[in-house]
Amino acid sequence: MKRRKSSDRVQGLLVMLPWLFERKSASIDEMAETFGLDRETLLRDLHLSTFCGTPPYTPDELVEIFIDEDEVWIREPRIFTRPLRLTVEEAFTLKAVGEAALGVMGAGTSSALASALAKLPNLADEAPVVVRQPSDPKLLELEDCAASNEIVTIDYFSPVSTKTTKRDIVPMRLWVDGEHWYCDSHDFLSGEHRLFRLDRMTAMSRTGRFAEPSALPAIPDEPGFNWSADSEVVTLHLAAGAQWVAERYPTLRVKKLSTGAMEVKLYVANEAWLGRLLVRAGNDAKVVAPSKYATLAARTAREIRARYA
Amino acid sequence: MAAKKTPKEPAKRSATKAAAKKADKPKDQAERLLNLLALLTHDSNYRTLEEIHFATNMYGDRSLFERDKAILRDMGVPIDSKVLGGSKAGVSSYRIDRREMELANINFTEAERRALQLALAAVHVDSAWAERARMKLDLTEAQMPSVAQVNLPVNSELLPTLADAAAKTVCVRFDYVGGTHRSLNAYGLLSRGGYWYVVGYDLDRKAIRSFRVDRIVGGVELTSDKFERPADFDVEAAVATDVEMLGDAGGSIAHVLVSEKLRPSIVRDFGEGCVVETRDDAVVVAVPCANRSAFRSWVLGLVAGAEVLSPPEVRQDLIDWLDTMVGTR
Repeated sequence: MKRRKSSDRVQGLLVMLPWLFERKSASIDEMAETFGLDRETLLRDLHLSTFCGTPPYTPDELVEIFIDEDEVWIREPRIFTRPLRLTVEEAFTLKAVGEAALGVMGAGTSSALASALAKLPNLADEAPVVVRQPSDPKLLELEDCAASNEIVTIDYFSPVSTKTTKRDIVPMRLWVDGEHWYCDSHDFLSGEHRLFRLDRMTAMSRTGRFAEPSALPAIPDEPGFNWSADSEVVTLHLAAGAQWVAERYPTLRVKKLSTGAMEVKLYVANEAWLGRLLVRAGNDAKVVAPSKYATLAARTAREIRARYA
Repeated sequence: MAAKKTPKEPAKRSATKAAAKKADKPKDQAERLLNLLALLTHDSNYRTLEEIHFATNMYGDRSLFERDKAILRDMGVPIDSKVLGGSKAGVSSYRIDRREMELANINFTEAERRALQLALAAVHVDSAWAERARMKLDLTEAQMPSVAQVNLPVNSELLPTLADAAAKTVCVRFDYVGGTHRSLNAYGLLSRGGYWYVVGYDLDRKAIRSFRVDRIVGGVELTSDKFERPADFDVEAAVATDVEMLGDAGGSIAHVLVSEKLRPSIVRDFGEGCVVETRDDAVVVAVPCANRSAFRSWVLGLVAGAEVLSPPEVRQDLIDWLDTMVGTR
């Protein structure tokens, strides 16, 4: 098991002890779940705290914790009764989270959130932290459908096939990453979970029909692109003019080469996506592996060049 | 949860044993940190290192104390130090004001508490800071996160540092990609399109500038030079969008023939007014092209769904770019 840093253990206990003090007792399982620790680690940390207190370190001056079967008890301590103040990092993150959430919450919740943020110390007077998300006119309606499992008919443009298909979907979760909104959906055309980009839905209409929640597929716990061990990876060498690729797209590895070029490994969404990326990067990007993509940039350039004949 | 019972059995080691153990030098750093924290918050007295060691038997080695003190400060613990006079002239002493260290009670309403829980469930950040803040505020995880969620990158330590400098209105210095050194009165931060920008007044360029935070090289130095932030400063307006990067709408304009299928996304970015002609299954759009490389990247992103019609030199520039690629592969 990876050894935890002392500062992490201390910071954890400085949250855990006041939490326990507020409740006087809690089950080991509840504490372990609340603080994201396994039972053994939790007990080890609680045990550590019983060594702590103030001189002369007689029993009444130490943190007193008792474990009775599966229950943890704490005697009223003189120390560690309140958590530490929010650090600069934590305060900033809350501010950023709040700003981001204000953009996706309904008016009622947004107002309660704004007043909650105003009560947080060190946040109200801070300088502007603006979190801007892309807008999409379909967003509110899709959210509404997702909340009620309403089936929606969409026209969806695929840049891979350059075709538009008509599909019935059940929107399940909407999320924004970078410049785009995405919709985790149950797709009746494929019968599976599919991810759709909102700006590629060229038409959308509600059907007034609703799906049974039990008939919907599971979606990943956290929103994101479903890269897996089976996903294809490409290795590129990027000269200075194309190193924006490494900043713009999630990379698996970035290595600076002695030539000043950069070697990056990144997931390939599909061949068309990679072709588009390569043609934008131009001759400053070169495919190292897999070899099947060695001529992809030229092929894509030729396809576009044909329009200018 | 099990029924509450009178506690019978202490945790594995009894407190008495712990006290006896205290006579030895504590080996565990976490234990040492907690005891140092407990001692320095115990009362309002300043204590010298010698007095701390006498009370705790932990710091025969000064470097150990310095290391622990630094860790506590990194955790945000405000350790106050004072150089003594009189018979202890020149000796440093330390204490921690609990009021400065501890989170004050915050009386959230139920609606505010729920809103914060939902916000923390709806916004996914890639660092442990949000989770730690949630626990400090004693907010349980929301069981039903909203259907709209956000992936927000908040993993750079430079972000809170820059936000802190902006809040304190002190100038910062940093090195930026390309080998330049910058002095900036940071007015605020903007997250857009997956990137964070710091925006402010660049003291060397004597103008408003924005910088991508992920392109700052090394750390950020906070100076003691104060500045005043303009009251009506608009952080967002100061950072050009990708579309604005193509050029000024009053400058060079390119006419591009694009597939009808691509129309919605182009109209979203440039507005309905960009469509200057409608054909069978295509439209002609007018978009800025003064920034030639940004324009080329934009139009090539549309692949074969787009063709630059005019001006001729912009069309030729694209053809040359494609010919170079076709010819060299």
